[in-house]
Amino acid sequence: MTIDRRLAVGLAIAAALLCGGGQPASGQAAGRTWSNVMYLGGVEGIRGKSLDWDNKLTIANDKISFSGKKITFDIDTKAVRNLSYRGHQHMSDGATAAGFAAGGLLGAFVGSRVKATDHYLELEYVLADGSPAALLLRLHKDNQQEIIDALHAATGIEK
Amino acid sequence: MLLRLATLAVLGCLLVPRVAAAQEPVDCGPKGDKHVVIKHKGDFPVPSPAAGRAMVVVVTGGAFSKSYQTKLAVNGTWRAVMNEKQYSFFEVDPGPLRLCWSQRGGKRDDNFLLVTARAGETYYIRGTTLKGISEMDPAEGRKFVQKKTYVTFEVRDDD
Repeated sequence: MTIDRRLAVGLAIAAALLCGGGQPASGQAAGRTWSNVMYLGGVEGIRGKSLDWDNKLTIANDKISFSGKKITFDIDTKAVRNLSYRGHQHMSDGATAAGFAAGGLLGAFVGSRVKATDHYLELEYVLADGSPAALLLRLHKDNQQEIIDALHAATGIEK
Repeated sequence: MLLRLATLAVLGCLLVPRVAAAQEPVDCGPKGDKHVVIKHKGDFPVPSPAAGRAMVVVVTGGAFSKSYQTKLAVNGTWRAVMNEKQYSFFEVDPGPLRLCWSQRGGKRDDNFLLVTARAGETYYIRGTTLKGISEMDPAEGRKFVQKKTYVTFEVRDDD
């Protein structure tokens, strides 16, 4: 094999890898996936919640996909009409317990001053017949901002 | 001195509200509302919803402790108030139902649920002290309602 031919084969392989082997060229279209997401219901036809963190949420340009042990669904990004964030701030039980362990009652008092925030996101969307629907997710503190940003980007809904 | 500090710490923990910013993921009913549960003797089968509406059936059961009053809010309004081994039902407009279960136990996220209601459908919601609220299979729900007492409620006016 000549050097030119090797170069051509190498370039072809590189191009195939970069383009995702026939997948859409855009990284966003293929989607980005996060773990540590909970589902608190709302998708029509799906009964139940998924209240452990062992779920995956993938956001692509065309769809939002949730995948858990028992619950899996896709929502068309074009169907999403509104994104509503709520942060619930409360006393951190872990910090209070750690404070008590470290410094007794005084430590517990100091620990009780530490606040934790639970992050919730409601997606309002429309069903195929145009009727309104909504689903609720709980996001982790480490991924909530990225997921919210990605949802705004994918759905085109302004912040 | 140390004893004083410890006493202050305990008092501080007790007096300062546990929740700093109560922006729940789902709105419950007004906190100050007090209700009276009204028991109805006899059979009260769940009726079909009126045209263009959906039916929600709430049933309690599963606690082994004393029966406390529990409440279900839909989209920020109390719609059912009951004790253990009781059920109630009410009609709703189709669309997203943001359910808040107000009771004394359980993890916070167990007490919130979204359901997307469709006209003509009946949704069975089970509420327990330990596991909060969840949607039941309708066949299971119909069976579960049997042997329970049908109740309604009134707002208690303490003035």
